Amino acid sequence: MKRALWLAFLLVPLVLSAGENRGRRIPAPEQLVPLQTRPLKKGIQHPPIKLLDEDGRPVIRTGKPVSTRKTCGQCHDYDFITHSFHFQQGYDHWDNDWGTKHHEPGSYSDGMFGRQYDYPYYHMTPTDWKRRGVDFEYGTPNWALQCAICHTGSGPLEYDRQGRRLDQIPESEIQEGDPDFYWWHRKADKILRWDWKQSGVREANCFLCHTPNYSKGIQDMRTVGVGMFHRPHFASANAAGLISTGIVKKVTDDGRVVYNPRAFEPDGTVKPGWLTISGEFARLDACLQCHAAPVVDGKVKIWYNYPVVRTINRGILRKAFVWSGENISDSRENIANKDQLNYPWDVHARAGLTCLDCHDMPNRPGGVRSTPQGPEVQPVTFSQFIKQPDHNFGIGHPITWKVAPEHMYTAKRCEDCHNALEKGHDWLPEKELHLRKVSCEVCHVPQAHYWALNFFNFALPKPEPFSLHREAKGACGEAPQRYTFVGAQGDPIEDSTALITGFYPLYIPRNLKPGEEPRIMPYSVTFSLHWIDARGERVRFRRILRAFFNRVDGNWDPKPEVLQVFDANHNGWIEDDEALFDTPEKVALAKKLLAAQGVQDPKLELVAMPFSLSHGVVPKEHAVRSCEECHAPNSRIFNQGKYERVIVDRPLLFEVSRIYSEDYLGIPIARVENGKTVWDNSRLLAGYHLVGALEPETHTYRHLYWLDLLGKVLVLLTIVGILFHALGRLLGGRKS
Amino acid sequence: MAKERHYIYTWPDRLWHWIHALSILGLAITGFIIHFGSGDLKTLRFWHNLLGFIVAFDYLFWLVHMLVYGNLRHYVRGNSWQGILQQIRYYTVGIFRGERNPFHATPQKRLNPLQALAYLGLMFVLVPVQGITGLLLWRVPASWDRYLPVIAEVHFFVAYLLVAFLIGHLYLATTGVTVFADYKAMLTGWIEE
Repeated sequence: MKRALWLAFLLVPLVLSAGENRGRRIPAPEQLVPLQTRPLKKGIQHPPIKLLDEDGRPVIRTGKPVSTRKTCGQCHDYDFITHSFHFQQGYDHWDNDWGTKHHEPGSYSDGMFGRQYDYPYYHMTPTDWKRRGVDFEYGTPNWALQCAICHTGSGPLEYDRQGRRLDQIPESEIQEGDPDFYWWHRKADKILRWDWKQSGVREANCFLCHTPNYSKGIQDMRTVGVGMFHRPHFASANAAGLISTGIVKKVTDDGRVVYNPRAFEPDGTVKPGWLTISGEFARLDACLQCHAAPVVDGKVKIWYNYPVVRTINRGILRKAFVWSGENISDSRENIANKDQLNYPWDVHARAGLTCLDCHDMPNRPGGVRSTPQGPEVQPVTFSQFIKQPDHNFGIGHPITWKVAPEHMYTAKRCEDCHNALEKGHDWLPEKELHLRKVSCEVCHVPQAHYWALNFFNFALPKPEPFSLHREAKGACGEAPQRYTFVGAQGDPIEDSTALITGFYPLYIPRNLKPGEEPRIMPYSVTFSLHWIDARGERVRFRRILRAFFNRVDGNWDPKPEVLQVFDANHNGWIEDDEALFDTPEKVALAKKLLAAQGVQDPKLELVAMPFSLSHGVVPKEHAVRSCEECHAPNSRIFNQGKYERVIVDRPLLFEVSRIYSEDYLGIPIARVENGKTVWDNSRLLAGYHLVGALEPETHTYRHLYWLDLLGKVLVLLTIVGILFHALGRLLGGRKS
Repeated sequence: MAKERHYIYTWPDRLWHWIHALSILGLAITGFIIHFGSGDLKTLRFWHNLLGFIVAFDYLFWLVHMLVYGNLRHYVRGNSWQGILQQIRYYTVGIFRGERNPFHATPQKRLNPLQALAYLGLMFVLVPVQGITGLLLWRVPASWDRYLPVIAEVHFFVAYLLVAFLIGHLYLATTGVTVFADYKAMLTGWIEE
């Protein structure tokens, strides 16, 4: 282990210096050291394994990339495992008509492969794109270049949409423009053929989650071709991450792998001590690589530096998700009022819980999953589990992300372990009613103590993104974005010493168990501004580029008329704050330019993407206990006063606003007030009567607005009537 | 001319009335503070609920007392359209001309027809509706959750009506023989004509 770490320390700076930096910030070497937040317990050891290539031969002899299909498939059912959503990512639910069926035109599945999301901003290309008359934007190779650093291989990274292995299809069977075999070369703005035989496919990366000293950082670089690599190569990416173990010495640009012969027995079996395969690691640390940030040596472990936060893990980006049992006050992070935050980032982390404890597998022996009837123990034998461990981990109740709707509501809820009705909460008036209407998290996750993304402006994006990959787009989140953050001073966060203030959640009603009535839940929400067309489909990025920019010598320069209206400081470029659609002139020009590109009836749409805040649970002493937090005019629940969320400190001229989910269709979520665009959930909470919590805008209860007005008028008329009557009596000379 | 004196409000009537009056006033104050969201909600809520129950028991006391002693007659007997119109005319015209009130309270009939009509609406419609909606807001059955906003709407609107009634009631009580004659009557039980 030690030797592997030293090797990683030595190798990474060397290879980085050999790479082409081009002024970009490359991750610091220490940030590529594999993640491991705690010592692993000694348990059942995985037997030594032979690393095999795609032909089933020992890699030490062939020098080919290790194939997990063949290697891990010796004992485990590779196809069964990779049929789970972590690998499929919506590929198995692909449907060219998915968007029409789910009120999301432009989306083709419910997962990351096919569905439109806020970042990166792109459209996958349907297989029948020519017939539909839509632009070719993202082919599968684009998705691989952009998304494969996090998405763990197999599914769309291994098969085309007809279920054929991508690198094994004869040339004669590949149709021109097939989005599985063609990609958008962004710089050239051309649709080009992708050679899967040359790049190879990404098989499932079992090492990523089961090998504690595996380097995701090197795997990422190998995937997209940066740093020590000059071009993408998918087949060798899984092997590249093994550099940090010492088993692999080098991976060449063409995908050849140089293995360390000292790590192998003559028959190709890895010698003991060189490769740790750990179920323990997979219970927690593996998940943290993508889904949350742990705290290591007092620092929140994010992969890359602040200026390139676009590439860090999703848990931070979306919901400031730091998972640690350490006290926030003990952190070395520059957090505001840290001294007062003398409680852990999450009480469950403090208690030693791991991800799997709540997000259990469907068939882990002794595992427990949530069901509508309560928690249920899985009746599976160990041998069955070893052969076919079902990697469909329990998921909760997402509003936006529904990659596996059939597995929703399977993660444990608070109620599966805690009985709030019977234990404690006796101080709470209307205890039963509160627990029925409000989720536990509303009081027990009162604040996020880190930062997250706040707002994207895709209505006038930057044409040239920071890109890990030179010709396509870069890693996940590397779309041409203009974005802001919430929870830290400085926007965007360019300064690593910026004071982290954290932020208050936004509140949305959501049914947390199937069939249950909605409860109010806290969310971290990112907002984005888009153009939509007459069908309600987001305008494709290529059209937006062509509408606002001219291609000059391979570069996209803003059109003169765009500069005239947007470039307030006349520096020949459109800054982020200039790109905001806050004047009718900007909107009118944009509509004209989009119409010229064939976009029918373009409208500005403001979209909210909520991510639930179920983690970051504080000790009960720090939970919300004051009634006035929710039942007062400046209510936490309605995000007023200090709880207000400013989306943009300008009056955006959006025409439609909504949550990105078919469950909340037609409900506006923002308003312009005092020159700012702010979150407004009063229509979402229209079915609630929160005593004392007066809503913004109406300054009463939305559902009572007219009755309230009528009542006031009635009382006023009574008083006025009495005054006139009394005056009449006085003037009439009646003494009494 | 010698003044006539009638004992029209017995002590249970007066006790009921003043408990009711003070409680309604307290309910209005706490209710509106709760509604407009200022103050210590927990304390306000406690007093609002307590006063609500006092009014509920007071109402039941009034109802039983009225039925047992036949006081319902004050509300239903001797009312006619003509009497109502006469009373309206008095309040809208006659009172400004210094005319005498066409109705004279007696132990047998202490409410004028317009009063009787108003009190019937108050005691048999508004107060029960407010009480029932108040009880539901206090303890909402799980299956009624979805109706909570509607229940709150009714409770709140009736509260406005009750406040308007209270203001009108306080004013009309000054239209007796003297400004304070009716107030005095409700304290002593005796009314002078």
